[in-house]
Amino acid sequence: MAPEAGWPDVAVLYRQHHADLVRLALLLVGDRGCAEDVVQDVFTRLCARGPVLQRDSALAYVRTAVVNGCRSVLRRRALARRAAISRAVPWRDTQDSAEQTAILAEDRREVLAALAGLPNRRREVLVLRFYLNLPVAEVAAMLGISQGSVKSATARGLDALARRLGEER
Amino acid sequence: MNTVLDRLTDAMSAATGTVREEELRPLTMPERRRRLSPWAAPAAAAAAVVLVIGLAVSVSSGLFGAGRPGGAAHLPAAPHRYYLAIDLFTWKTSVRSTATGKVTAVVPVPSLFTAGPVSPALAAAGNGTFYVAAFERGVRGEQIYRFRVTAAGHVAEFARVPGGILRPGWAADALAASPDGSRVAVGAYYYPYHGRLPQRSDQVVVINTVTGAQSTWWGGSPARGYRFFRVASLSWAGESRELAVLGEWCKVNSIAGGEGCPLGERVAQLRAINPAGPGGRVLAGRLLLRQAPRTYLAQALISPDGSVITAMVLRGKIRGNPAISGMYPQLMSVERIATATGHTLGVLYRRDLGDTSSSSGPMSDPLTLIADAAGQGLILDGGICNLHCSNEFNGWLHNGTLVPLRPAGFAHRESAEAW
Repeated sequence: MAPEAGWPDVAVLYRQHHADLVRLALLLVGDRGCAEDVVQDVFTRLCARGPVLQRDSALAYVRTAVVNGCRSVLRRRALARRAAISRAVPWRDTQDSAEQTAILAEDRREVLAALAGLPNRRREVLVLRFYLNLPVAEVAAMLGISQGSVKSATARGLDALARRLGEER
Repeated sequence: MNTVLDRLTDAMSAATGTVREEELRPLTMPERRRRLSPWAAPAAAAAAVVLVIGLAVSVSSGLFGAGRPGGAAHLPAAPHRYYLAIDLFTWKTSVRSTATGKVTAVVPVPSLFTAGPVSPALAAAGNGTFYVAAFERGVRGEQIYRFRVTAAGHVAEFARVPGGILRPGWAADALAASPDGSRVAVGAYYYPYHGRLPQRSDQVVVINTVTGAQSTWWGGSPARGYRFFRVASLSWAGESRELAVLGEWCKVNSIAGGEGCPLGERVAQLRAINPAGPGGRVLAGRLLLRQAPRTYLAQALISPDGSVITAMVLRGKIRGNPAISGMYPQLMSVERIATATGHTLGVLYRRDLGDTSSSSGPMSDPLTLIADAAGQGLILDGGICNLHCSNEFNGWLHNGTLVPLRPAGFAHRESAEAW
């Protein structure tokens, strides 16, 4: 990438956080290609829009944009599934490389599939809280919800995961 | 919970470990557009959709009085001055004014959040007596408490129910108290605290509040493959001699406190069991009502005299993503059904639920029908609804309409209610 003059923040963000943002998106959409597309789209829009970022909140802004982008992907998938009546499950029905298959053993796939089966908000909260280790207040600010909602979504998300994983054994 | 959290963080770490920076596609910038963007027309269409959705939300909000949360003058008189709710924002069980939503008292149960899983279980026993389930810090089994709400909306006589403690690992998901207060029925789900435990279905636990004795019922299997049992609703009839259990048997694992069972993989039956018995299979109880083909029997409560069943039934097409809670037929009705004949006596309320999946306005909680001890006043709770959705609801039924419970917008905060 060759950043244009006047937009140094985007270039720095891209260099420092591109892979991390793809990882975040991967956990939310369950598909690497889509995850890369989401992050690509976010940076493309940032570059096209000009210097909108503030240095101290730039990463939070981009993360929020990635979460929103993932929501859009899932919404489009929902429409496609409605038309095709597809029952494909992320993490279970994807074609992976041999290396990915080795790393993601069946047990982990079950956990990720259960995560993918959660409602959007619960999945987002669990990923932001326990993958990015963000504090409740920051997650609340990112998702535009109250801290109480973050806590309840966390509790309910973990509760749902526990039940699903426990009963499937 | 720690085990689940450990497994979750391990899985997320492993999954993201497959992403290496050097393998990612480089960022490519699109050419600068010189003419009218080809996205202009879709963007205009999208803006129109946003406008329509905005109007729909405004209309919905207006209907539910969200714009005037303090004004109750235009609402009909409620059958009860107060109602109880477990508030997920504050993690407290509160007594609220039905007319204004103002909190008049807080039930002194231990913290719902820090000591165990959230337990959405509240029940009314008549004469202002209520029951609630909650975990105490340091105690592994969930405790049932009894208390009274005074005419002024205050809490009195708060105490533990004798013998009202569930076995470790089990949490209350539904609660119903017999009209004479001698027994409390609990729909309990298995909550895996530690290690990898075998799959378990819900159980119905009946607690004798005088002696502390407990008896346990499990689902059984109505047909091959229907392995997962869940208690959808509990109600008492025949002067505490019968407990009506709406059981849901599912072929697939449904999530506790969340998504229900898909229509095509679900059997639901209302069965009457003898609560004085030693326990056994719910399926061995007397059959009162069964889910008809192509309908979703979501809730069913029997009247105290046993003559009428009030049921919440979903029919019609399913809209939404089946992978994320879009599994409910969209047309909901609350109906009165004669227990003896199974014939519908009348429809109390109808509603089009629309898309129930989480992508466009989900109901991520099961639909709940709550009756007072007399079986007359009905609360209809559409559960929790994600950000920006417009199909949430929480109110009481009055002449074919749903009168919103105050405060406005509380539907996404409460996890259980009673009055």
